Parts: sequence; C-alpha cells; structure tokens
Amino acid sequence: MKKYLGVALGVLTAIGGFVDIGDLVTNAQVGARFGVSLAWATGVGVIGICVFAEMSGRVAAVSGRPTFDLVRERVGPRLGMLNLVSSMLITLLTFAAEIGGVSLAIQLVVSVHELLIVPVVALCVWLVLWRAKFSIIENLFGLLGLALLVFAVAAWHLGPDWGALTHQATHAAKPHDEFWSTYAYYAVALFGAAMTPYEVFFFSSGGVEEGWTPDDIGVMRANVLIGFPLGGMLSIAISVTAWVVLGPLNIGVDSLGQVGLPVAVALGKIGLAIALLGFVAATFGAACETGLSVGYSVAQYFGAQWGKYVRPNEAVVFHVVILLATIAAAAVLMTDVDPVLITEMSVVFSAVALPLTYLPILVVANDPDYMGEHVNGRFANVLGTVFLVAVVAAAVAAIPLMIWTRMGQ
Amino acid sequence: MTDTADRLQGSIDGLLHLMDRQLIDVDGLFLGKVDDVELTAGDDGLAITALLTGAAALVGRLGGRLGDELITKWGQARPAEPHRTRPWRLSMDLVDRLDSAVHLTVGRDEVLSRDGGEGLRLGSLAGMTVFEPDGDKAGRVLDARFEPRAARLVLRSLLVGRGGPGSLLGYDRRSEQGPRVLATLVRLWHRDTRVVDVDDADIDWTLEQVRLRERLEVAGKRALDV
Amino acid sequence: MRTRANPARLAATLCALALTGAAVGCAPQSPDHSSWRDQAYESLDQVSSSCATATLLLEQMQRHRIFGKYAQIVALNAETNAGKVTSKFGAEQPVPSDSATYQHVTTALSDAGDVLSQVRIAVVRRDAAAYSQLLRQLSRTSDELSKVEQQIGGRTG
Repeated sequence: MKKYLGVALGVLTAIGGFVDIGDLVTNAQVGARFGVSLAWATGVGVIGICVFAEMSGRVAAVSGRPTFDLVRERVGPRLGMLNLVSSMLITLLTFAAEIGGVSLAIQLVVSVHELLIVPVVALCVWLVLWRAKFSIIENLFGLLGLALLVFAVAAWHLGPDWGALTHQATHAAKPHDEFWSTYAYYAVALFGAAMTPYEVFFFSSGGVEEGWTPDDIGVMRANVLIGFPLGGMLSIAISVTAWVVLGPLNIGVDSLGQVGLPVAVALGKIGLAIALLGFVAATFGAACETGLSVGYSVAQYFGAQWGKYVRPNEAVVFHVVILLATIAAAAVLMTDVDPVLITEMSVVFSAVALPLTYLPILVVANDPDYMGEHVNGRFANVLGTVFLVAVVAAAVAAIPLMIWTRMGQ
Repeated sequence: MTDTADRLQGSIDGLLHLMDRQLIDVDGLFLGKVDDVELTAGDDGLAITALLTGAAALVGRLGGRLGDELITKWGQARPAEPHRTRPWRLSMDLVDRLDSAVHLTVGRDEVLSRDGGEGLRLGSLAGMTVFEPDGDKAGRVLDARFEPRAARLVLRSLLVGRGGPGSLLGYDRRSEQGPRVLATLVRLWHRDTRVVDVDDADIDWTLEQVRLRERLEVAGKRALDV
Repeated sequence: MRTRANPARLAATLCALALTGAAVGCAPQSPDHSSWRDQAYESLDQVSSSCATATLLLEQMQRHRIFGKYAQIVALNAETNAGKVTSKFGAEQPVPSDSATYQHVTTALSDAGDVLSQVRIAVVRRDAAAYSQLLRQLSRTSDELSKVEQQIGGRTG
C-alpha cells in the first residue's frame, strides 16, 4: 500500500496544475467550444512540467535545496525578490480562488450562499495546514482527487465519435465559428496553467518534506511520470464530456455546476456524487498546495525554518505566513469576486515569475557543485532549453492576447 | 543530502558559492540566509570572519542605489533599539562546512550576536566600479575569490567584468556546465570578464571603487582559464 | 557615491499617472455602431447559453439524474448570469440609428430572464409538473434569441 501512496505527492501537485477550480471550468469551457482541438496545448504542458518538476525534484533529492532557495542563490536577492512578489501574487490569488472553489463545490451540495461557506472553508484549510501531517494531506487529497476519473468514465459512457475526436486532436482543427485569436488565448492559458510556478515550489519542497535522498530519484520520477500525465488526462476527459454534451447546445461554461452536468447526463446521480467529491477534493488539495507554497516561498527566500516535517513551534514564521495568507485570501473572496476570474487574472504575473523560476532550476540541475554525478543529461537539457524558451514566449504572449480577446470571449 | 566535499577547504567565489546560501544548524534546523559576508583586514589581507544575516544585512543589498537610505530607515523604524542597523553576526568559528548550504557546529538557539560593529562587507565589494590606472572605467566587481590561509579564507582575487545578468550563474567560470545554449550566451555576454590578483588592485571602501595598478588586459587573466 | 532618488518628483509622477487613469476610467460607455452590435451579439449569445443550460437541467431533472440542491444552484447561476448580462447591456448607449434594434434585443433578453426566473422557482419548489411547460417556453425563448441574433447579423470580430 505504502508503495502506491508513494506517488501521492505527484498526483496532488498535478491536481493543482490541471484540475484546480480555474482549470475545471476552463477545461469544460474549452471543451464545449473547441472540443479536443486544444488537447495538444495540455499535452505540451504535461511534458514541460514533467521536465522541470523532475529537475527540481532531483535537485531537492540530491542537495536538499528546494526551488526558491535556488532562485535566490542563482539570481540574487533583488531579482529573487521580484520573483517572490510576482509568484506570490499568482500563488496567493490562486490560493484565494481555491478556497472559493471549495466553497462553490460545497455550495452544489448544501445550496447555501457561497459567502457563508467561505469563512468556514478558510478556517478548515488553515487548520489542515497547521495541524495535519504532510503525508495525510498528500495521500487524502491526492487520492480523493482521483474521483475526477469519473469524467473519463463519463466520456467513455457518452460514446463520442472517437474518429472525429482523434481527427480534431491530431489536426488541431479549430471550429470554424471561433477566431484564431481566442484559440491562441486558450492555448496559452492551458499551457500556462500546466506550468504554474507553484507546482515546482510545492513538488520540490514536498520532496524535502518526505526526506528524499539520491536513492529516491526513482520514486521521484515515478511521481512525475504518473502524476502529471494523469492530471493532463483528467483535464482532457473533462473537455471531451463538455464537447459531447454542452458543445451541441452552444452552452458557454462559466460556473462549476455546468462542469458536472455531462457526468449527470452520462451516469446519473451516482456519477454526479462522485464528481462532486472530486471537485471538493481537487479544490481543497489545490488550496493546500498553493497555501503551503506561499509559506514555502517566503520562508525559503528569507531562510526561515519551513516545512511540516518539524513541529509548528519550530517553524513559526512559516505558519504565520500561511495564517496571514489564509486571512488575505478569505478577505479577497468576501468581495464576492468570481474565483474562476481570479485564476485567469493571475496569469498576468507569470510573465515575470516563470522565467525567474525555471531558469535557476535549469542552471542548478547542471551544476556539479550541487548535483555531483546527478547533473542533467543531454536529453533533459535539450527539453529544458526548449521549454524555457516556450514558457517565456507563452508568458509574454499571454497579456496582449488576454486584452485582445477580452479573456477569450 | 550527499556528502559532497566541503568547499571551505578549497578556493571559493564569495558570491557564487557562499552568498545567499541557507544557514543550517547542527540539528538540521534553518536559521537564516547568508545575507552578507563580513571581511576583516589581517596579516594575509582581507579574511572572511563572519557571516551576516537578517534584515539589516539584506536591506542594503536589496536597495541598490537606495541601499544606505533603506538601512537608515530600517534603523529609524525603531529608534529605541540599539544598533538596529548592525546585522546579526555568525562567527566563522561556528561554521562546520559549506556545500549547497552552510552547516554550523552548534544549535540555532541564541547563536547570533550584534557585537561585531561595522565591518567591511562582501556585499559592498561586489558591484564596485573598477578603474584603470589612467582613470578609465574597466568594469565592475562581479565576484571575489577566496583561498584558505591558516584556517581562514582570504581574499586573493577579484572577478572584473561587465555588470549584468548572468554572473551568478557561474558559466563564466566553468567550461563543462550545460546546457550548451545557455552557457554560450552567458559566456558571450561575459567574454571580457577577467580575474585580477588582489595585489594588483586598491580597494577604496569609502568611495566604493577599485583602482587597478596595471591595465586590466595586462593584470587580468581570462576567468575560464584560471 | 550613491545617488539619491528625488521622492517629491516620484510622488508627482505617480499622482499624474493616477489622475490620468481616473480621467480615462470616467469616460461614459458610448460605443460606436459596430462595437455596440458586437456587444449585443455577445449578450444574446450568453443568455442563449443560460437558456440552453436551463433546458439541459430540466431534461435531466425529468429523468431524475440530478440532485435537487445541485439543480437549484445551476438554475440560480443561469438566472443570475442572464440578469447580469442583461443589465450590463441595457446600460450601453446605442447610437440613434440602432434604437429599434436596442428595443428588440433588450426585450428578448429580459423575456429570457423572466423564463429563467420561473425555471429557478420551479426547481427550488421541486415542481416537477411544471417542467414540460417550462421546457416549451425555453424552446420558444431560444428561438426568439437566435432570431434577434440573425437580425443583427453575426459578429464582425
């Protein structure tokens, strides 16, 4: 059993990148409008995040240094601070969105106004981050998040025209009633979501929490190679169900409730209940991932003790930062802002955060001082360089596209 | 964590290998970053005597041109506290070894002190403008190289080159490190970087500039060759 | 030596920027003909989507495939979404030549809003008997919305 739980960290990290609240809605939205013609963007994102998560995990296993340590050591305190601020904006905004997302998911069960649920959820998230063991967080939410596999079952059950889907996916065929600019916007949004910086912050810090050593590089790779493709698969499954059920009706997806409708059509109440469980677990898991990432990054920049592997009394700064982040997140949500919109807005800051996060990882993964014999091979370097360029291009293109298409409308 | 060699036994580049590293105590707990490094003049020259940590050290490096101003403000934020602008000191005697982090020989409880007064800082040496003997600008100090002498790390040479991105990445000093595209770009940018022996340079700490005794082309060696 | 920044000048620049921003932000919403038409099309499209969601919802309710609470929230979201779109579009100033179209569009939008409210009321009451009637109404509303959409004549981008 323990052997299978060993990949929970990868699964939970991937949930935050591929099926958090913003992605759940975006994937259904993209599915309803574009079918799987944008699946390539998710696929490319899966490969990109695998490459860099593997590097950051390997650095953590060999040297014990998580990603934000590398950021400050390689780009210095000033650019490091710039990265801290911009990646904190992304992570903190996403953290707020996830707490909102849990509330939206719970709202679908209890039918109480969202703003009444938010404070309770925020309190629960904070209590979990403060008291629960790291292994419990990753195993519980990583595992329960797999309830979203019900979307794959639903997709299969709906019996789509697989030939047409394959054609769409392989030819990147844009539906004729959509503009290329919106198509490009969603391609960049999906790719950017797959490569959000908090995934590597969380994954590498999680590796330190689990006490990885060079002997665990195999386990770490299993985490990467199972977790992220699984996340990408879930997000494509959501797109397929939306394409089959919502696409023909011209339904534009803008709320979580609509995302679950195809599952209800395919599998009825039981399927819908499992999907709801998946929504709650995935958003709660993503809330834990982003909340912890806020604490990890700030503490790692300033050198304070961090982590759930020590008692809270020994990592006071870390826990205070998480508490303040939770309060700030709840405060943002109480303005009745749409959580899905928050995650789309946070992409703006990735133009700064992405290069300043992935460049230090690539450099240190090559540095024999840190890595000894475990430095990058040629394969990792070629992919790493290509994706570094791709991620910078996407991050820079995101802002004009966002303005031009009015966020994909 | 691997048992990589202790870097304190050989020569190190202060910014590349020591600055901004994590401080870890004997129990594996973290107590801060190497926010700056204290240098003290001795018989052999400038030696690393302490690691500095905390806001008073970090704020000066963060501020750039406004660094001094920010440190003053940091002090004024709580006038009742004595020596607030002095950073916390951690004597080099307490350092066990240096790999990807700085490991101490003691526990972290109450290990810091502010006794040292205002010593010289590696953080201000880095970034100083370097002038040729005739007054022309030769570049900036990108890093400082230290070598062990009688159980201390002593300043032996300065890396002088074009100030700009990439000097902390280390490609200008090591030939085999990949990825190739990145290494080529950084090296192209830093192709003029030279290593200058500290005996060939006068460091003026008040004016924050370095004056060479011979022209850079004569005194300096290419960084990759050293 | 380190140069000192001039705080007064910095503050003045920031103030000027903020004032310019505020002045631009205060301009009234009066789009030209083609962008107004785009917005009309966009609004009709979004409200159609809400109606389609409500239709799908009621059909699945009739087949007992959705929980009541879940359906309540979906119905409520559809209604709220349509309401927001309608009031936002209603506040846009049309050019005089578009006045007739303005009437058509806003009427169609608010009619749809009324039906969506009835759907929500029925779903919250679990009034299964009303679903077939509402489905017919929704179908008529959708037809009306797409008719007006055709009149406007599609997006120009």
